[in-house]
Amino acid sequence: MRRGVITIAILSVLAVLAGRWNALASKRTRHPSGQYPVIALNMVRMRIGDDPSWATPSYDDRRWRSIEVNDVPNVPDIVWLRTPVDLSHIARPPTHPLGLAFSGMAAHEIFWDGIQIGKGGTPARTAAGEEPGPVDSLYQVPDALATRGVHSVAMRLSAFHRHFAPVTGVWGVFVGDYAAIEGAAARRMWIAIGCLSGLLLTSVFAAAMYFLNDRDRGSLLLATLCLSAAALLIAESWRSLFGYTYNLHLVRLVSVTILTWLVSVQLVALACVRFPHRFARPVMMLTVVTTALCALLPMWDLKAGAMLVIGVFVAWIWTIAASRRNAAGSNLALIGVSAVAVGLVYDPTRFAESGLFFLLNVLFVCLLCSHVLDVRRDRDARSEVELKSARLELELLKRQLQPHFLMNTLTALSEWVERDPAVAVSMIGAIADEMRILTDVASESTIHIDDELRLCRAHLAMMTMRKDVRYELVTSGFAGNELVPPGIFHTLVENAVTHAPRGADIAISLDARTDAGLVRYSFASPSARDAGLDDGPVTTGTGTRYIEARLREAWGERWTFSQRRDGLRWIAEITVPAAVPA
Amino acid sequence: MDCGDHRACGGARLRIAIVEDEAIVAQRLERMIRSLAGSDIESVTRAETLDEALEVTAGGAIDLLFLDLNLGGRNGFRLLDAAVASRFQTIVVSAHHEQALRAFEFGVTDFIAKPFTAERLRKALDRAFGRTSLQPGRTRCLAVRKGAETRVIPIDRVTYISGADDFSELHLDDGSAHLHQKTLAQLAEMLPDSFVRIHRSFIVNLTGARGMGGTTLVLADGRALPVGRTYRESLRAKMGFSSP
Repeated sequence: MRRGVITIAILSVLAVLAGRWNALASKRTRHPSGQYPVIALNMVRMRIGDDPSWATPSYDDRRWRSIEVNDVPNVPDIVWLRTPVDLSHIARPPTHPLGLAFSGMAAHEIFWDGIQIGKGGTPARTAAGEEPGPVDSLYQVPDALATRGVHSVAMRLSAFHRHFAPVTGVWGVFVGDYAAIEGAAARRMWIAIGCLSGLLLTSVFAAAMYFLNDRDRGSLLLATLCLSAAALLIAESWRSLFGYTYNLHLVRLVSVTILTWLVSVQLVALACVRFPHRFARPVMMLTVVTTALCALLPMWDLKAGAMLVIGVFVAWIWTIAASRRNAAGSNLALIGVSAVAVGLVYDPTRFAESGLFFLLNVLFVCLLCSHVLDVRRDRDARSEVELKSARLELELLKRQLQPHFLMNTLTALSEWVERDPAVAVSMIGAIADEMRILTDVASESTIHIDDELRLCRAHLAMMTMRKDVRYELVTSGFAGNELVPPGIFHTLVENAVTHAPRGADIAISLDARTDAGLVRYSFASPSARDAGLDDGPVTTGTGTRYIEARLREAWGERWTFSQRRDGLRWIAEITVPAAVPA
Repeated sequence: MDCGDHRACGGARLRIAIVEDEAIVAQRLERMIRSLAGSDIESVTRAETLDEALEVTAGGAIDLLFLDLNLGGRNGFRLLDAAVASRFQTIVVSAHHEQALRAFEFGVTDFIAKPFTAERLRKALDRAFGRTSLQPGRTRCLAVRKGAETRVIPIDRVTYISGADDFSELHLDDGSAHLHQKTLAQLAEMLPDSFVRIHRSFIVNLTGARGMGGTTLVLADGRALPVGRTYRESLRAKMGFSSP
């Protein structure tokens, strides 16, 4: 309940932040504010063909086609655009020069009141003659020309090197405060660099975790995902960061599309790796195919946008499912993916350019935190397993130091030394055998059955001399390749000796049956009438716990162990998988 | 064996029981006891289980019990309760030396840690038959039989002990009295210094005594007990009075 509330609260904050950030970003990129307003030259008159006189302010262009600047058609010729600019309401301080920005895929020449003020590449009537111009240009209008009143802007364009037919060839023409337009571009750049540093840092950290932490796939995927996102950010920001001539625009669009596809697919892959489920493989395949099919969509923005929508929402649903299963670390991951999903819903059209990288940073930090927690949990679990193994090893070795065992053995040994030294020597040999095998096997999680049986027989040989009762272990049904945790039958044998009836020779039997990938061991020994199954300090109480802990160490929960009394016999049955996990 | 002030002195021969589930250890004990006590022994009985042991000791027809505290892996203090409430002396033979303190608190005669030598066993036998004194002051409780049950009484609750034929009677601070199977002489050996013999028939816990009045000792509850002539001087010294 509390966790849900926290999640919702964080999500709301992130959603609002994303919205605010988007709004701010839009404001800055679309309308750079300066000492005076920026004028977007949206409507122009257009004519195909070429005539230098078309630059003159007095030329009568009323018969030219009136179009929006975004709708300039793709034609294999020179295109002229003309529009008046009204500066009569603009009080321009002398220290703030006037600027004209041209964004589009064309070689261009810009004329202000008939005087050329800018040139990007060289427009020409043939592909060979044209030299491509930069996609973004900013020209200063000479102060002498930037006077109050109405001015004429004429643009001479050609675009033979686009290599595809874009929906929009000219993206925008603006007139305004030169410093403000330039500043807006710089701000976009800094935001991109800020996000980039976050992504690269996360990537390096995740890569370090991959190399330091047993090369787990989650860390590697997070590292490559961050790297892909960083590359996507660079590709997206290349225009504001470095600029390029318009003939390279296609290269950038293709790069952006491929990188978006990589980010989308890796996002789903990471979710699948971090929160495994049997549907992981089909979902992954489906994501790869559908996002790849998005490349067939008509517009570049649509291709990338659709890929991102599919990737983010599959990852989101996957993380929600993981969170419902209470998968470790899923709540943190859900917060991160939800933030991206909310951002995507909030402003789908401009998301890839603005909010995406900020929110990806949030997501990756969430994933990283969840991953760090996961690693810590893993490490704790592993050290707990190691500690348990060490305890089991110690417990097995400590048996030989139990006062009851050790002191009675030494007392019996003293008696044999005085009464019959030859028996004493044999007894010392048997003790040495048992100790030697124990120290050899105690640290293993499983040992060969022959070693376990040798250990049992060495113990019985020693107890025969200590108690003056003949003990025998009869085995049957063993294939000879069985593996068992060390000391489990030794524990049963010890218990059998402790609770054996008096006087008679004692035969203990151990039978093994392998069937359908399982080995069933049946242990039977004669038992005194009053012997309990869970009596005393060194018998079944700690003995049962020892056997169970050893079985768990070797096979997790895939084993059974039961004990019962059958008349004057004590029966113990253990079933384990025939194969030992690597 | 030399003559002590116990059964062996009176010419009667010792009846010994060994409760031990390790055959070779039991054999060792019997072999050593026979070689040390020899002709003083009337019988040595061996028991391997708790039930058998209880059967042997319940008869009471023994003088000395050698008791292993861990039979078949079980804790033997239950057996010890019953043993120390009996007339016979108990010597614990155990692999768990850490149990010694608790055993002495129960009033056992000696505690032999395994493994043991003949020399150690001889010392225990000497102690049992009074040739060397026990280490007094270690007994912290006395066990008394009430029907089939054994009740353990902390000794600081005992105000005085009176002798009654072959038994003793423990008088507690709440006014109750309990029969104990040991004689006053046997108890005097076991109890700490605060318990002083004041009469042929009385041992008093001096921590609860109010003062001396002529030939009597007055207890906290006002009860006056006679002080025997032979005990008078030593009692005065212990109470901090000078001789008249």
